[in-house]
Amino acid sequence: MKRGLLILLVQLLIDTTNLFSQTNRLLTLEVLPVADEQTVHAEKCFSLKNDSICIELLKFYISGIQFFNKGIPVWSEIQSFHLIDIEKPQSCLVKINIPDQLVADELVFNLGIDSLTSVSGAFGADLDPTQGMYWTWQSGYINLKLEGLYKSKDALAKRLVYHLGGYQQNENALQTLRFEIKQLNSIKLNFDVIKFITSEVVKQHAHIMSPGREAIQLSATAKSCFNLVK
Amino acid sequence: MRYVKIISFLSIACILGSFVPKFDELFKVPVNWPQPKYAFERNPLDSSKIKLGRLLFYSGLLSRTNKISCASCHSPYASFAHTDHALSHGIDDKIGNRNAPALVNLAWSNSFMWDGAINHLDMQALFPITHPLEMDENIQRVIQKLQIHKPFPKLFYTAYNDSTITGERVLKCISQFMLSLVSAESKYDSVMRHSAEFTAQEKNGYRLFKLHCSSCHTEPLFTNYSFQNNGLPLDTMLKDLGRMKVTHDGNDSLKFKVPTLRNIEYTYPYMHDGRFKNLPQVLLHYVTGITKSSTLAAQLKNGIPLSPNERVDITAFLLCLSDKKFIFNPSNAYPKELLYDK
Repeated sequence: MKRGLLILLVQLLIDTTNLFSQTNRLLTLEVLPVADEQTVHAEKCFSLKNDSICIELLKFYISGIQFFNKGIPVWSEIQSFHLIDIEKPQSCLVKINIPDQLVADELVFNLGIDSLTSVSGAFGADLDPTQGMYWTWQSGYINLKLEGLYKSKDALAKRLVYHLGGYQQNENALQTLRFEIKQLNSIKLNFDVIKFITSEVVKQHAHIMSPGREAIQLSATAKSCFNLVK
Repeated sequence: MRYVKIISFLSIACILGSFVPKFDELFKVPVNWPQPKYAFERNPLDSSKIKLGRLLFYSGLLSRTNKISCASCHSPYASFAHTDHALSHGIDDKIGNRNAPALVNLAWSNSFMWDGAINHLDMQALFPITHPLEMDENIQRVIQKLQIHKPFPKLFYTAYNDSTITGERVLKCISQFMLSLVSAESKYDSVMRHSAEFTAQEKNGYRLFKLHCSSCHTEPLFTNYSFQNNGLPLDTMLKDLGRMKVTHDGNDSLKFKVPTLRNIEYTYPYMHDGRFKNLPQVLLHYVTGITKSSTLAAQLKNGIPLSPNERVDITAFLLCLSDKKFIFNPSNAYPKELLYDK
Protein backbone atom coordinates (compact mmCIF):
# COMPACT_ATOMS: atom_id res chain seq x y z
CA MET A 1 0.00 0.00 0.00
CA LYS A 2 2.75 2.39 1.05
CA ARG A 3 4.83 1.44 -2.00
CA GLY A 4 1.88 2.03 -4.32
CA LEU A 5 1.33 5.45 -2.78
CA LEU A 6 5.03 6.30 -3.21
CA ILE A 7 4.96 5.30 -6.91
CA LEU A 8 1.86 7.45 -7.40
CA LEU A 9 3.57 10.41 -5.73
CA VAL A 10 6.71 10.03 -7.85
CA GLN A 11 4.58 9.81 -11.02
CA LEU A 12 2.69 12.92 -9.98
CA LEU A 13 5.98 14.74 -9.39
CA ILE A 14 7.25 13.72 -12.86
CA ASP A 15 3.99 14.84 -14.52
CA THR A 16 4.07 18.15 -12.68
CA THR A 17 7.69 18.70 -13.68
CA ASN A 18 6.82 17.94 -17.33
CA LEU A 19 3.91 20.33 -17.14
CA PHE A 20 6.10 23.18 -15.96
CA SER A 21 8.98 22.33 -18.27
CA GLN A 22 6.72 22.41 -21.36
CA THR A 23 7.84 25.21 -23.65
CA ASN A 24 5.57 27.22 -25.87
CA ARG A 25 5.93 29.04 -29.15
CA LEU A 26 3.89 31.55 -31.10
CA LEU A 27 1.74 30.47 -34.00
CA THR A 28 0.39 33.23 -36.23
CA LEU A 29 -3.09 32.71 -37.55
CA GLU A 30 -3.67 35.28 -40.25
CA VAL A 31 -7.32 35.92 -41.05
CA LEU A 32 -7.55 38.25 -44.01
CA PRO A 33 -10.71 39.59 -45.64
CA VAL A 34 -9.99 39.69 -49.39
CA ALA A 35 -11.73 40.71 -52.58
CA ASP A 36 -10.29 39.77 -55.98
CA GLU A 37 -7.10 38.72 -54.23
CA GLN A 38 -6.69 42.16 -52.69
CA THR A 39 -6.86 42.81 -48.96
CA VAL A 40 -10.04 44.62 -47.97
CA HIS A 41 -9.60 47.94 -46.16
CA ALA A 42 -12.28 50.27 -44.88
CA GLU A 43 -13.79 52.46 -47.60
CA LYS A 44 -12.09 50.43 -50.38
CA CYS A 45 -14.24 49.77 -53.44
CA PHE A 46 -14.26 46.70 -55.70
CA SER A 47 -15.73 46.04 -59.12
CA LEU A 48 -18.33 43.34 -59.64
CA LYS A 49 -18.87 43.04 -63.42
CA ASN A 50 -21.20 46.04 -64.03
CA ASP A 51 -21.51 46.92 -60.35
CA SER A 52 -19.25 47.93 -57.49
CA ILE A 53 -19.16 47.55 -53.74
CA CYS A 54 -17.50 49.85 -51.20
CA ILE A 55 -16.93 48.18 -47.86
CA GLU A 56 -17.31 50.66 -44.99
CA LEU A 57 -17.10 48.29 -42.07
CA LEU A 58 -16.25 44.63 -41.61
CA LYS A 59 -15.70 43.01 -38.22
CA PHE A 60 -16.17 39.47 -37.04
CA TYR A 61 -15.27 37.28 -34.11
CA ILE A 62 -13.33 34.08 -34.26
CA SER A 63 -13.39 32.18 -31.00
CA GLY A 64 -12.85 28.80 -29.39
CA ILE A 65 -9.67 28.02 -31.34
CA GLN A 66 -8.78 24.33 -31.06
CA PHE A 67 -6.43 21.89 -32.69
CA PHE A 68 -7.30 18.27 -33.40
CA ASN A 69 -5.09 15.34 -34.33
CA LYS A 70 -6.65 12.29 -35.99
CA GLY A 71 -10.07 13.49 -34.86
CA ILE A 72 -9.09 13.95 -31.21
CA PRO A 73 -8.84 17.41 -29.58
CA VAL A 74 -5.21 18.02 -28.57
CA TRP A 75 -5.14 21.71 -27.62
CA SER A 76 -7.64 24.51 -26.91
CA GLU A 77 -6.92 28.19 -26.41
CA ILE A 78 -8.15 29.55 -23.08
CA GLN A 79 -10.22 32.75 -23.24
CA SER A 80 -10.20 32.42 -27.00
CA PHE A 81 -12.00 35.49 -28.37
CA HIS A 82 -10.52 37.51 -31.26
CA LEU A 83 -12.15 40.39 -33.05
CA ILE A 84 -11.01 40.78 -36.66
CA ASP A 85 -11.55 44.36 -37.83
CA ILE A 86 -10.48 45.71 -41.23
CA GLU A 87 -9.86 49.12 -39.64
CA LYS A 88 -7.21 47.53 -37.41
CA PRO A 89 -4.86 45.49 -39.66
CA GLN A 90 -3.02 44.09 -36.62
CA SER A 91 -6.25 42.40 -35.51
CA CYS A 92 -6.01 40.16 -38.60
CA LEU A 93 -2.86 38.58 -37.16
CA VAL A 94 -3.96 36.36 -34.29
CA LYS A 95 -1.02 35.25 -32.17
CA ILE A 96 -1.56 31.93 -30.45
CA ASN A 97 0.74 30.54 -27.80
CA ILE A 98 0.87 26.80 -28.50
CA PRO A 99 2.99 24.03 -26.92
CA ASP A 100 6.28 23.48 -28.71
CA GLN A 101 5.65 19.78 -29.26
CA LEU A 102 2.05 20.10 -30.45
CA VAL A 103 1.13 17.75 -33.29
CA ALA A 104 -2.16 18.50 -35.06
CA ASP A 105 -3.77 17.97 -38.43
CA GLU A 106 -6.91 20.06 -38.04
CA LEU A 107 -7.75 23.62 -36.98
CA VAL A 108 -11.22 24.23 -35.53
CA PHE A 109 -12.75 27.55 -34.49
CA ASN A 110 -16.07 29.34 -34.25
CA LEU A 111 -17.25 32.26 -36.29
CA GLY A 112 -18.97 34.24 -33.53
CA ILE A 113 -19.46 34.04 -29.79
CA ASP A 114 -20.89 31.02 -27.98
CA SER A 115 -24.20 31.13 -26.09
CA LEU A 116 -22.62 30.70 -22.63
CA THR A 117 -20.49 33.82 -23.09
CA SER A 118 -23.51 35.64 -24.47
CA VAL A 119 -25.42 35.14 -21.21
CA SER A 120 -22.53 35.79 -18.81
CA GLY A 121 -22.49 39.56 -18.56
CA ALA A 122 -19.77 42.10 -19.33
CA PHE A 123 -16.28 41.15 -20.50
CA GLY A 124 -13.23 43.18 -21.43
CA ALA A 125 -10.67 43.30 -24.27
CA ASP A 126 -12.13 42.16 -27.63
CA LEU A 127 -15.46 41.38 -25.91
CA ASP A 128 -15.79 44.84 -24.35
CA PRO A 129 -19.09 46.45 -25.35
CA THR A 130 -17.12 49.46 -26.61
CA GLN A 131 -16.07 47.31 -29.58
CA GLY A 132 -19.59 47.87 -30.92
CA MET A 133 -20.26 44.15 -31.25
CA TYR A 134 -22.87 43.79 -28.50
CA TRP A 135 -26.53 44.37 -29.23
CA THR A 136 -28.03 46.94 -26.92
CA TRP A 137 -31.75 46.55 -27.60
CA GLN A 138 -31.52 42.89 -26.69
CA SER A 139 -28.75 40.73 -25.29
CA GLY A 140 -26.06 38.90 -27.18
CA TYR A 141 -22.98 39.49 -29.28
CA ILE A 142 -23.02 40.37 -32.95
CA ASN A 143 -20.89 37.67 -34.58
CA LEU A 144 -20.25 39.52 -37.83
CA LYS A 145 -20.86 43.07 -38.99
CA LEU A 146 -20.55 44.13 -42.62
CA GLU A 147 -21.74 47.49 -43.93
CA GLY A 148 -21.17 48.93 -47.37
CA LEU A 149 -22.55 50.69 -50.42
CA TYR A 150 -23.58 48.64 -53.43
CA LYS A 151 -23.62 50.64 -56.66
CA SER A 152 -25.28 49.23 -59.72
CA LYS A 153 -25.35 50.63 -63.27
CA ASP A 154 -28.90 49.33 -63.72
CA ALA A 155 -30.42 50.39 -60.41
CA LEU A 156 -30.16 52.81 -57.53
CA ALA A 157 -27.28 52.38 -55.11
CA LYS A 158 -28.25 50.53 -51.97
CA ARG A 159 -26.76 50.35 -48.52
CA LEU A 160 -25.93 46.88 -47.30
CA VAL A 161 -26.10 46.40 -43.53
CA TYR A 162 -25.57 43.01 -41.94
CA HIS A 163 -25.34 42.53 -38.18
CA LEU A 164 -25.38 38.75 -37.81
CA GLY A 165 -25.86 37.08 -34.47
CA GLY A 166 -28.26 35.22 -32.23
CA TYR A 167 -27.45 32.76 -29.48
CA GLN A 168 -30.78 31.31 -28.41
CA GLN A 169 -31.58 27.75 -29.36
CA ASN A 170 -33.75 28.43 -32.41
CA GLU A 171 -31.76 31.49 -33.48
CA ASN A 172 -28.21 30.32 -32.93
CA ALA A 173 -26.09 31.77 -35.74
CA LEU A 174 -22.75 30.50 -34.44
CA GLN A 175 -20.77 28.62 -37.11
CA THR A 176 -17.99 26.12 -36.52
CA LEU A 177 -15.23 25.91 -39.12
CA ARG A 178 -12.73 23.08 -39.60
CA PHE A 179 -9.63 23.12 -41.79
CA GLU A 180 -7.11 20.37 -42.45
CA ILE A 181 -3.63 21.71 -41.77
CA LYS A 182 -0.19 20.43 -42.73
CA GLN A 183 1.98 22.56 -40.42
CA LEU A 184 1.81 24.63 -37.28
CA ASN A 185 4.17 27.48 -38.09
CA SER A 186 1.88 29.95 -39.76
CA ILE A 187 -1.70 29.47 -40.92
CA LYS A 188 -3.39 31.82 -43.32
CA LEU A 189 -7.13 32.03 -43.93
CA ASN A 190 -8.94 34.29 -46.37
CA PHE A 191 -12.46 35.57 -46.02
CA ASP A 192 -13.83 36.04 -49.54
CA VAL A 193 -15.87 39.25 -49.37
CA ILE A 194 -17.00 39.03 -53.02
CA LYS A 195 -18.46 35.55 -52.44
CA PHE A 196 -20.34 36.95 -49.42
CA ILE A 197 -21.67 40.01 -51.26
CA THR A 198 -22.79 38.05 -54.31
CA SER A 199 -24.54 35.34 -52.29
CA GLU A 200 -28.25 34.63 -52.75
CA VAL A 201 -29.13 35.83 -49.23
CA VAL A 202 -27.45 39.21 -49.83
CA LYS A 203 -29.26 39.55 -53.19
CA GLN A 204 -32.57 39.03 -51.40
CA HIS A 205 -31.93 41.09 -48.25
CA ALA A 206 -30.07 44.41 -48.17
CA HIS A 207 -30.43 44.59 -44.37
CA ILE A 208 -30.28 41.84 -41.76
CA MET A 209 -29.90 43.19 -38.24
CA SER A 210 -31.85 40.80 -36.03
CA PRO A 211 -31.37 37.17 -35.05
CA GLY A 212 -33.53 34.75 -37.01
CA ARG A 213 -33.70 32.56 -40.10
CA GLU A 214 -32.02 35.04 -42.48
CA ALA A 215 -29.21 35.71 -40.00
CA ILE A 216 -28.56 31.97 -39.69
CA GLN A 217 -28.58 31.53 -43.49
CA LEU A 218 -26.16 34.40 -44.07
CA SER A 219 -23.93 33.20 -41.23
CA ALA A 220 -23.72 29.83 -42.98
CA THR A 221 -22.80 31.71 -46.16
CA ALA A 222 -20.11 33.59 -44.25
CA LYS A 223 -18.72 30.27 -43.06
CA SER A 224 -18.39 29.10 -46.66
CA CYS A 225 -16.43 32.25 -47.53
CA PHE A 226 -13.40 31.19 -45.49
CA ASN A 227 -10.67 29.25 -47.20
CA LEU A 228 -7.24 28.05 -46.20
CA VAL A 229 -4.36 29.56 -48.17
CA LYS A 230 -2.01 26.69 -48.99
CA MET B 1 14.71 50.29 14.49
CA ARG B 2 14.02 49.27 10.90
CA TYR B 3 12.08 46.20 12.08
CA VAL B 4 10.04 48.32 14.46
CA LYS B 5 9.05 50.56 11.53
CA ILE B 6 8.06 47.57 9.37
CA ILE B 7 6.02 46.01 12.18
CA SER B 8 4.32 49.35 12.90
CA PHE B 9 3.51 49.77 9.21
CA LEU B 10 2.07 46.26 8.98
CA SER B 11 0.01 46.78 12.14
CA ILE B 12 -1.48 50.02 10.79
CA ALA B 13 -2.17 48.32 7.44
CA CYS B 14 -3.96 45.46 9.25
CA ILE B 15 -6.07 47.88 11.30
CA LEU B 16 -7.01 49.88 8.18
CA GLY B 17 -7.71 46.65 6.31
CA SER B 18 -10.12 45.57 8.99
CA PHE B 19 -12.26 48.68 8.18
CA VAL B 20 -12.69 47.70 4.50
CA PRO B 21 -16.22 46.28 4.28
CA LYS B 22 -16.28 42.57 3.52
CA PHE B 23 -18.68 41.00 1.01
CA ASP B 24 -21.00 39.84 3.81
CA GLU B 25 -21.29 43.42 5.01
CA LEU B 26 -21.96 44.74 1.52
CA PHE B 27 -24.55 42.15 0.57
CA LYS B 28 -26.60 40.05 2.96
CA VAL B 29 -29.15 37.50 1.82
CA PRO B 30 -32.18 38.24 4.01
CA VAL B 31 -33.37 35.42 6.27
CA ASN B 32 -35.55 32.86 4.45
CA TRP B 33 -34.77 34.32 1.04
CA PRO B 34 -33.45 32.15 -1.81
CA GLN B 35 -29.86 32.48 -2.96
CA PRO B 36 -29.36 35.28 -5.51
CA LYS B 37 -29.00 34.44 -9.20
CA TYR B 38 -26.25 36.98 -9.89
CA ALA B 39 -22.79 35.40 -10.29
CA PHE B 40 -20.90 37.54 -7.77
CA GLU B 41 -17.67 35.64 -8.41
CA ARG B 42 -17.38 37.39 -11.80
CA ASN B 43 -17.94 40.82 -10.26
CA PRO B 44 -17.16 40.65 -6.52
CA LEU B 45 -18.75 43.48 -4.59
CA ASP B 46 -16.39 46.15 -3.37
CA SER B 47 -17.28 49.38 -1.58
CA SER B 48 -15.21 51.55 -3.94
CA LYS B 49 -16.91 50.00 -6.98
CA ILE B 50 -20.37 50.41 -5.46
CA LYS B 51 -19.55 54.08 -4.80
CA LEU B 52 -18.35 54.54 -8.37
CA GLY B 53 -21.43 52.75 -9.69
CA ARG B 54 -23.63 55.09 -7.67
CA LEU B 55 -21.92 58.12 -9.20
CA LEU B 56 -22.31 56.67 -12.68
CA PHE B 57 -25.99 55.92 -11.98
CA TYR B 58 -26.61 59.57 -11.10
CA SER B 59 -24.34 61.05 -13.77
CA GLY B 60 -25.75 62.80 -16.83
CA LEU B 61 -22.55 62.00 -18.73
CA LEU B 62 -24.17 58.73 -19.74
CA SER B 63 -26.51 60.64 -22.08
CA ARG B 64 -25.92 62.53 -25.33
CA THR B 65 -26.88 65.88 -23.78
CA ASN B 66 -25.12 65.16 -20.45
CA LYS B 67 -28.46 65.85 -18.75
CA ILE B 68 -30.24 62.49 -18.44
CA SER B 69 -29.00 60.00 -15.89
CA CYS B 70 -30.28 56.56 -14.90
CA ALA B 71 -31.86 58.31 -11.91
CA SER B 72 -33.88 60.57 -14.21
CA CYS B 73 -36.27 57.65 -14.66
CA HIS B 74 -35.31 55.62 -11.58
CA SER B 75 -35.71 57.82 -8.52
CA PRO B 76 -34.66 56.45 -5.12
CA TYR B 77 -37.83 57.94 -3.61
CA ALA B 78 -39.96 55.83 -5.95
CA SER B 79 -38.07 52.61 -5.23
CA PHE B 80 -36.06 53.51 -8.33
CA ALA B 81 -39.15 53.67 -10.56
CA HIS B 82 -40.61 56.83 -12.17
CA THR B 83 -43.55 58.19 -10.20
CA ASP B 84 -46.26 60.12 -12.04
CA HIS B 85 -45.08 59.17 -15.51
CA ALA B 86 -46.96 56.42 -17.32
CA LEU B 87 -44.21 56.32 -19.93
CA SER B 88 -40.82 57.71 -18.96
CA HIS B 89 -39.45 60.73 -20.75
CA GLY B 90 -35.81 60.72 -21.76
CA ILE B 91 -33.52 62.78 -23.93
CA ASP B 92 -34.96 66.06 -25.29
CA ASP B 93 -38.19 65.20 -23.40
CA LYS B 94 -38.94 62.39 -25.80
CA ILE B 95 -41.52 59.94 -24.48
CA GLY B 96 -40.47 56.30 -24.19
CA ASN B 97 -42.45 53.15 -24.83
CA ARG B 98 -42.71 51.68 -21.34
CA ASN B 99 -43.15 52.51 -17.67
CA ALA B 100 -39.79 52.52 -15.84
CA PRO B 101 -39.82 49.53 -13.46
CA ALA B 102 -38.59 49.60 -9.86
CA LEU B 103 -34.92 48.65 -9.41
CA VAL B 104 -34.91 46.53 -6.30
CA ASN B 105 -33.57 43.10 -5.34
CA LEU B 106 -32.08 42.73 -8.82
CA ALA B 107 -29.56 40.12 -7.67
CA TRP B 108 -32.42 37.60 -7.68
CA SER B 109 -33.47 38.32 -11.26
CA ASN B 110 -32.03 36.57 -14.29
CA SER B 111 -33.69 38.63 -17.01
CA PHE B 112 -34.36 42.34 -17.26
CA MET B 113 -36.83 44.75 -18.92
CA TRP B 114 -40.58 44.13 -19.11
CA ASP B 115 -40.02 41.62 -21.92
CA GLY B 116 -36.80 40.03 -20.60
CA ALA B 117 -34.84 41.27 -23.63
CA ILE B 118 -31.70 41.69 -21.52
CA ASN B 119 -30.20 38.50 -20.12
CA HIS B 120 -27.71 39.85 -17.57
CA LEU B 121 -27.66 42.73 -15.12
CA ASP B 122 -24.21 43.82 -16.33
CA MET B 123 -25.56 44.49 -19.81
CA GLN B 124 -28.79 46.17 -18.70
CA ALA B 125 -27.45 49.74 -18.67
CA LEU B 126 -26.42 49.50 -22.35
CA PHE B 127 -30.09 49.57 -23.37
CA PRO B 128 -31.06 52.97 -21.91
CA ILE B 129 -27.65 54.48 -22.71
CA THR B 130 -28.07 53.77 -26.43
CA HIS B 131 -31.85 54.03 -26.81
CA PRO B 132 -32.77 57.05 -29.00
CA LEU B 133 -35.69 57.95 -26.71
CA GLU B 134 -33.78 57.50 -23.45
CA MET B 135 -30.12 58.63 -23.34
CA ASP B 136 -29.24 58.40 -27.07
CA GLU B 137 -25.53 57.99 -26.42
CA ASN B 138 -23.00 55.29 -27.23
CA ILE B 139 -20.72 53.57 -24.74
CA GLN B 140 -17.54 54.66 -26.55
CA ARG B 141 -18.45 58.34 -26.13
CA VAL B 142 -19.48 57.76 -22.52
CA ILE B 143 -15.99 56.46 -21.81
CA GLN B 144 -14.35 59.41 -23.60
CA LYS B 145 -16.37 61.79 -21.41
CA LEU B 146 -15.64 59.93 -18.18
CA GLN B 147 -11.90 60.01 -18.97
CA ILE B 148 -11.88 63.83 -18.83
CA HIS B 149 -14.45 64.48 -16.09
CA LYS B 150 -13.60 64.66 -12.43
CA PRO B 151 -13.89 62.66 -10.24
CA PHE B 152 -14.15 59.61 -12.48
CA PRO B 153 -10.50 58.83 -13.41
CA LYS B 154 -9.54 59.08 -9.73
CA LEU B 155 -12.41 56.85 -8.67
CA PHE B 156 -11.55 54.23 -11.30
CA TYR B 157 -8.01 54.30 -9.97
CA THR B 158 -9.28 53.74 -6.43
CA ALA B 159 -11.52 50.89 -7.53
CA TYR B 160 -9.15 49.09 -9.91
CA ASN B 161 -5.67 50.36 -9.00
CA ASP B 162 -5.45 51.90 -12.43
CA SER B 163 -7.46 54.68 -13.98
CA THR B 164 -8.23 52.88 -17.24
CA ILE B 165 -11.93 53.22 -18.02
CA THR B 166 -13.45 50.43 -20.10
CA GLY B 167 -16.97 49.45 -21.05
CA GLU B 168 -16.70 46.35 -18.91
CA ARG B 169 -15.71 48.36 -15.83
CA VAL B 170 -18.41 50.99 -16.31
CA LEU B 171 -21.13 48.38 -16.69
CA LYS B 172 -19.92 46.23 -13.81
CA CYS B 173 -19.75 49.23 -11.45
CA ILE B 174 -23.30 50.25 -12.34
CA SER B 175 -24.27 46.62 -11.63
CA GLN B 176 -22.55 46.79 -8.25
CA PHE B 177 -24.63 49.80 -7.21
CA MET B 178 -27.85 48.15 -8.46
CA LEU B 179 -26.96 44.91 -6.64
CA SER B 180 -26.66 46.90 -3.42
CA LEU B 181 -30.32 47.96 -3.73
CA VAL B 182 -31.79 45.28 -1.47
CA SER B 183 -35.15 46.03 0.08
CA ALA B 184 -36.13 43.67 2.91
CA GLU B 185 -37.14 45.92 5.82
CA SER B 186 -40.87 46.34 5.29
CA LYS B 187 -43.57 45.69 7.88
CA TYR B 188 -44.23 42.39 6.08
CA ASP B 189 -40.57 41.42 6.74
CA SER B 190 -40.87 42.39 10.42
CA VAL B 191 -44.00 40.24 10.72
CA MET B 192 -42.21 37.31 9.08
CA ARG B 193 -39.37 37.76 11.59
CA HIS B 194 -41.91 37.87 14.46
CA SER B 195 -40.97 41.38 15.48
CA ALA B 196 -44.28 42.98 14.43
CA GLU B 197 -47.90 41.98 13.85
CA PHE B 198 -50.39 42.67 11.08
CA THR B 199 -53.63 44.47 11.95
CA ALA B 200 -56.80 42.43 11.44
CA GLN B 201 -57.36 44.15 8.09
CA GLU B 202 -53.79 43.53 6.91
CA LYS B 203 -54.04 39.91 8.08
CA ASN B 204 -57.18 39.36 6.00
CA GLY B 205 -55.51 41.12 3.07
CA TYR B 206 -52.53 38.77 3.38
CA ARG B 207 -54.89 35.75 3.43
CA LEU B 208 -56.64 36.96 0.28
CA PHE B 209 -53.30 37.79 -1.33
CA LYS B 210 -52.03 34.24 -0.78
CA LEU B 211 -55.27 32.88 -2.19
CA HIS B 212 -55.48 35.00 -5.34
CA CYS B 213 -52.16 36.72 -6.11
CA SER B 214 -49.18 34.79 -4.78
CA SER B 215 -48.95 32.21 -7.58
CA CYS B 216 -47.30 34.96 -9.66
CA HIS B 217 -46.31 37.51 -7.00
CA THR B 218 -44.56 34.84 -4.98
CA GLU B 219 -43.06 35.57 -1.55
CA PRO B 220 -40.57 36.66 -0.40
CA LEU B 221 -39.58 38.58 -3.56
CA PHE B 222 -43.22 39.05 -4.59
CA THR B 223 -42.56 37.92 -8.14
CA ASN B 224 -41.89 34.52 -9.68
CA TYR B 225 -39.97 36.23 -12.54
CA SER B 226 -42.21 34.61 -15.15
CA PHE B 227 -43.81 36.36 -18.12
CA GLN B 228 -47.60 36.46 -18.03
CA ASN B 229 -50.52 37.94 -19.93
CA ASN B 230 -52.59 39.49 -17.14
CA GLY B 231 -55.54 40.35 -19.38
CA LEU B 232 -54.66 43.92 -20.32
CA PRO B 233 -56.15 44.87 -23.70
CA LEU B 234 -53.53 45.83 -26.31
CA ASP B 235 -52.80 49.55 -26.35
CA THR B 236 -53.51 50.34 -30.00
CA MET B 237 -51.10 53.27 -30.03
CA LEU B 238 -48.11 51.50 -28.47
CA LYS B 239 -48.89 48.08 -30.03
CA ASP B 240 -46.58 46.50 -27.45
CA LEU B 241 -46.71 42.69 -27.71
CA GLY B 242 -44.24 42.20 -24.84
CA ARG B 243 -42.26 38.98 -24.59
CA MET B 244 -43.20 37.96 -28.14
CA LYS B 245 -40.88 40.68 -29.45
CA VAL B 246 -37.98 38.77 -27.93
CA THR B 247 -38.96 35.16 -28.58
CA HIS B 248 -40.89 35.67 -31.85
CA ASP B 249 -43.29 33.07 -30.47
CA GLY B 250 -47.03 33.75 -30.73
CA ASN B 251 -47.53 31.94 -27.42
CA ASP B 252 -45.73 34.85 -25.74
CA SER B 253 -48.01 37.52 -27.18
CA LEU B 254 -48.99 40.19 -24.61
CA LYS B 255 -46.87 38.58 -21.91
CA PHE B 256 -44.83 40.85 -19.65
CA LYS B 257 -42.59 40.15 -16.71
CA VAL B 258 -44.39 39.80 -13.38
CA PRO B 259 -43.12 42.82 -11.41
CA THR B 260 -42.18 42.71 -7.75
CA LEU B 261 -44.78 44.24 -5.44
CA ARG B 262 -42.21 45.37 -2.90
CA ASN B 263 -42.56 49.14 -2.36
CA ILE B 264 -45.64 49.11 -4.61
CA GLU B 265 -46.91 52.14 -2.68
CA TYR B 266 -44.16 54.25 -4.27
CA THR B 267 -44.01 52.86 -7.81
CA TYR B 268 -47.24 54.22 -9.33
CA PRO B 269 -48.44 54.33 -12.06
CA TYR B 270 -48.73 50.58 -12.66
CA MET B 271 -48.33 48.03 -15.47
CA HIS B 272 -45.81 48.03 -18.34
CA ASP B 273 -47.42 51.09 -19.89
CA GLY B 274 -48.42 52.83 -16.65
CA ARG B 275 -52.11 52.71 -17.55
CA PHE B 276 -53.35 52.46 -13.95
CA LYS B 277 -52.77 55.43 -11.67
CA ASN B 278 -53.46 53.72 -8.34
CA LEU B 279 -53.88 50.37 -6.61
CA PRO B 280 -57.74 50.39 -6.56
CA GLN B 281 -57.66 50.66 -10.38
CA VAL B 282 -55.23 47.71 -10.55
CA LEU B 283 -57.40 45.51 -8.30
CA LEU B 284 -60.56 46.47 -10.18
CA HIS B 285 -58.88 45.35 -13.40
CA TYR B 286 -58.39 41.86 -11.98
CA VAL B 287 -62.06 41.72 -10.90
CA THR B 288 -63.86 43.16 -13.93
CA GLY B 289 -61.34 44.21 -16.57
CA ILE B 290 -59.68 40.99 -17.79
CA THR B 291 -59.56 40.73 -21.59
CA LYS B 292 -59.61 37.09 -22.65
CA SER B 293 -57.14 35.79 -25.21
CA SER B 294 -55.34 32.55 -25.99
CA THR B 295 -52.26 33.59 -23.99
CA LEU B 296 -54.11 34.81 -20.88
CA ALA B 297 -52.68 33.42 -17.62
CA ALA B 298 -54.68 30.34 -16.59
CA GLN B 299 -55.26 31.77 -13.09
CA LEU B 300 -57.10 34.76 -14.58
CA LYS B 301 -59.48 32.94 -16.96
CA ASN B 302 -62.45 33.77 -14.70
CA GLY B 303 -61.04 36.97 -13.23
CA ILE B 304 -60.45 37.30 -9.47
CA PRO B 305 -63.64 37.50 -7.44
CA LEU B 306 -63.03 40.20 -4.82
CA SER B 307 -65.61 42.32 -3.05
CA PRO B 308 -64.89 46.05 -2.55
CA ASN B 309 -64.03 45.38 1.12
CA GLU B 310 -61.66 42.57 0.17
CA ARG B 311 -59.91 44.88 -2.29
CA VAL B 312 -59.41 47.40 0.49
CA ASP B 313 -57.96 44.67 2.73
CA ILE B 314 -55.55 43.53 0.01
CA THR B 315 -54.48 47.15 -0.46
CA ALA B 316 -53.82 47.40 3.28
CA PHE B 317 -51.59 44.35 3.02
CA LEU B 318 -49.77 45.69 -0.05
CA LEU B 319 -48.89 48.84 1.88
CA CYS B 320 -47.09 46.53 4.35
CA LEU B 321 -44.54 45.92 1.57
CA SER B 322 -43.26 49.50 1.82
CA ASP B 323 -39.68 49.73 3.03
CA LYS B 324 -39.15 53.32 4.18
CA LYS B 325 -35.64 52.56 5.39
CA PHE B 326 -34.76 51.59 1.81
CA ILE B 327 -36.59 54.50 0.19
CA PHE B 328 -34.86 57.08 2.38
CA ASN B 329 -31.50 55.35 2.67
CA PRO B 330 -28.91 58.14 2.14
CA SER B 331 -26.47 55.57 0.69
CA ASN B 332 -28.82 55.19 -2.26
CA ALA B 333 -29.52 58.87 -2.80
CA TYR B 334 -27.89 61.44 -5.10
CA PRO B 335 -24.15 61.56 -4.35
CA LYS B 336 -23.09 65.08 -3.46
CA GLU B 337 -19.63 64.40 -4.87
CA LEU B 338 -21.08 65.02 -8.32
CA LEU B 339 -21.94 68.58 -7.34
CA TYR B 340 -18.55 69.38 -5.83
CA ASP B 341 -16.41 67.97 -8.62
CA LYS B 342 -17.97 69.65 -11.63
